[in-house]
Amino acid sequence: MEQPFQDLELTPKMADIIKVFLEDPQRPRYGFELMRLTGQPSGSLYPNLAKFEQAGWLTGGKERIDPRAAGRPPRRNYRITGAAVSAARCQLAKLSERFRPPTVVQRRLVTEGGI
Amino acid sequence: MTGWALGGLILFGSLAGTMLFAALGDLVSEEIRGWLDQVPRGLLHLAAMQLDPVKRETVYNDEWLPELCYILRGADSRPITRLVRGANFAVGIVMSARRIARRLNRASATQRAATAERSGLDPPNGRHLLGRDLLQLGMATRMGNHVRVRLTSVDGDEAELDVPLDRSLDDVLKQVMKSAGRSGFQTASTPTVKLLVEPSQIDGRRGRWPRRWRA
Repeated sequence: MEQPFQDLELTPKMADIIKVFLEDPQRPRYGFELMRLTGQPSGSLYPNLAKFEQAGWLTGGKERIDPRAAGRPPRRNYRITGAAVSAARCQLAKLSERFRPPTVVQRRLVTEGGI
Repeated sequence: MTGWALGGLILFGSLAGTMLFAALGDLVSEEIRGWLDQVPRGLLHLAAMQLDPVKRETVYNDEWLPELCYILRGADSRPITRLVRGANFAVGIVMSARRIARRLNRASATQRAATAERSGLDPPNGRHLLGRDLLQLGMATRMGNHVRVRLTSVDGDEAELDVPLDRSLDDVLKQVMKSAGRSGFQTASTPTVKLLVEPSQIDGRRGRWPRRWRA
């Protein structure tokens, strides 16, 4: 059940997560895969995934496997929602602007001779 | 016994002992490998205990456990790698279980099944209808001698009402239907009330349903 979309202010960790989804918005992602790609532990990743899901940025699905053949139950996956794609790009751009290093102004040394 | 015979016996004994020792070692190692996988599962089970029964179904059974199973199978024949990865995953979940549960509001399989069985009635005035088996009592919070319960209809509408604890379940149902009607729900028939979760205090402490309410 998709939650209604709400705006979110992204923290750097959340940005790392959502960036993975933006690489291929149609592709579902799994918890362990996100842990490896973002380098975040489960204790940090899953609360953020829950936050995204609650805010309607991500929607959940089930892995399509035969549990008997795979020897394990199907996993839950996440997909980025359509509304979140543009919001995420905006937020990432804002974050990128915020953390961009300032431009250094080169000052010319003026010698006593005037050149 | 001649020297040769004795020597042969000792050699045979050593060989047999070595083989037996190797076989026992394999058995013990396999036994330990089997137990190692139980450590992360046990930790995840601890995390699940922090959730209420509804969330336990949607979060623990549908998400955490399958992910752990995938992690444990992924490392295949390397038991220590499996243990470390699995335990890392499970410990993180244990530390953040409550935070995750507070943020999530997924419908359980029971609720989804109930949602699927719609009454099929469309009222002309646009209000939603509650049919049989479609009214559920959601989270309840205790306030003195009353319990505040949240009603969820098949359409996902919610209403809250205060119910005194000294009433029977039938009386509660009647009051629920009266209040539901006043809240804007229209009732098609008397619903079955399904108690989904144990009541809890607003600040997160656990309460108990009155005995007369237990199904």
